[in-house]
Amino acid sequence: MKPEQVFEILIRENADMLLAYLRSVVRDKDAVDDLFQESMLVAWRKIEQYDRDRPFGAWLRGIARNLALGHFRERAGHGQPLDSAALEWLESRFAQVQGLGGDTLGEKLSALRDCVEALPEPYRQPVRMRYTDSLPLPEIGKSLQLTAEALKKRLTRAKLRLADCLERKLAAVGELT
Amino acid sequence: MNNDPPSLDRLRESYIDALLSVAYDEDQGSVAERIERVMQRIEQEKGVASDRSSNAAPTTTRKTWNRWISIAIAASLLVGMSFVLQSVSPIQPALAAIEKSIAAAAEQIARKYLVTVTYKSGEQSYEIENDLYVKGHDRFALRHPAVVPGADLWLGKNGDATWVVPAIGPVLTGNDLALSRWLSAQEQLSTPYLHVTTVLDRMSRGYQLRELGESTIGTREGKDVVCRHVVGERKNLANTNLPATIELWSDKASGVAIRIEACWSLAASESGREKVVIEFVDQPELPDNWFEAEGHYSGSRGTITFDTSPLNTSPLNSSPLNSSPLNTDTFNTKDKP
Repeated sequence: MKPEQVFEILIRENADMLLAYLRSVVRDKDAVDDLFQESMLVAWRKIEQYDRDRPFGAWLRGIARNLALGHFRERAGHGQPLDSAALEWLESRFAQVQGLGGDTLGEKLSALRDCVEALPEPYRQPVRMRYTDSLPLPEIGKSLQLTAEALKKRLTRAKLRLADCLERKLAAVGELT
Repeated sequence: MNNDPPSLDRLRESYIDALLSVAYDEDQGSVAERIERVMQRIEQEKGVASDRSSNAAPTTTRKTWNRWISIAIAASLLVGMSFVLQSVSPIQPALAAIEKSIAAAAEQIARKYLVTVTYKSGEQSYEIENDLYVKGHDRFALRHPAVVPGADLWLGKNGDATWVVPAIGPVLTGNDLALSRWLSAQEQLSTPYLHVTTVLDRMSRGYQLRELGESTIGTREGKDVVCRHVVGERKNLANTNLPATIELWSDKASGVAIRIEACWSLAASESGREKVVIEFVDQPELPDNWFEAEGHYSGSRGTITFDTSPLNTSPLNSSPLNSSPLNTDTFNTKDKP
């Protein structure tokens, strides 16, 4: 098997996680696309430096992290850039998620889906409409009779509850292993 | 504009937002396209001619192992057809026919299909027939005929693990990825899409579906079945390794897939597989272990795990892995905590 074939398998296994990581780091969708592609290409060019005893996904995210920092430097003065500490915090969380059971990220995130199901109805409803049904925010607001601001706050609170729930689950897994 | 670093709550919100988008599969269709673009860039950078569009006449080895590719694709097509259709169904007018077919495919009923792979070699074509048994989404067994009677090869999946039972030698077991690696090691082609899940992934993302109405299909048993006919056309015309079209005829009443055709557009000078037809045969009574490796050999056999065994221990292997740093035998492809 040629190196690029193996590389393609590796990036397919890790692409979802990298994309999720970049989406949490950068809000601009175009920038996410650019950083995703650039991370993969840099990984390919530096593949000789990769320590095969280490997780490939973490190495890939390390590359993405450095590229994101460069992106923030280039766009200084625009938006809210994440600093190294914030990126490190995110990496630690993604590394925990990567350690969950399941072959794909979708499978690993069953814990998060359980958290969604456990949300009180007023929170679960907008989350499901947003992420399961992919409805646009105005439509959700109209359906739930919430103003844009109220919906935004509702979703924010829901996501923070989900963060608490997921962290508890990750901690429980960590204690078991 | 506020340029202060975001608060921890904001960070946690972004983190959960990103995970939710993956957990509920939002916009996942674009991941395959992104990877495709990356691989194209890598190929450009390497300056190598892509085997994906090679017009070279196949060698004997290549022709032989093209069969494996087609078999893998054929099995994937059927087992994965629901993936293909499910992923696009919310936005396709073919929704009703497809959802019914998905539901039928998910039933825990064993169904037998005849898989006919047509190969083109020069100006001639020839066919190889394989038997495919499926049960739900994650159980299948495929018999590949051998020239020598009794030397058939079986490969399949029992719901969790994949397996290969060669004519002689140990049984190989592993996961989807391991099976695809093994398959890919059986030929010299540079075909990343041998990876079964990759095939499914690309198919699920890259086809434009439309319904063509009803038509009547004659089954292998001689019955006429009124079917709904859905055709999928490959969006990315450049990716000639994938079928140019995939057609599905599903029983209008039950939703069962009666016939699936996948066609490649080969240039006049090209050789290789040009068509795979999967036809429903019947719903046979099968032994309990039919979707296990043990159901396809007698006596005692050793078992080798795909992941840990050197691929060149396979009695069918013809291409030991090279010494690249990306040798799959030792590469850590899974992140561990």
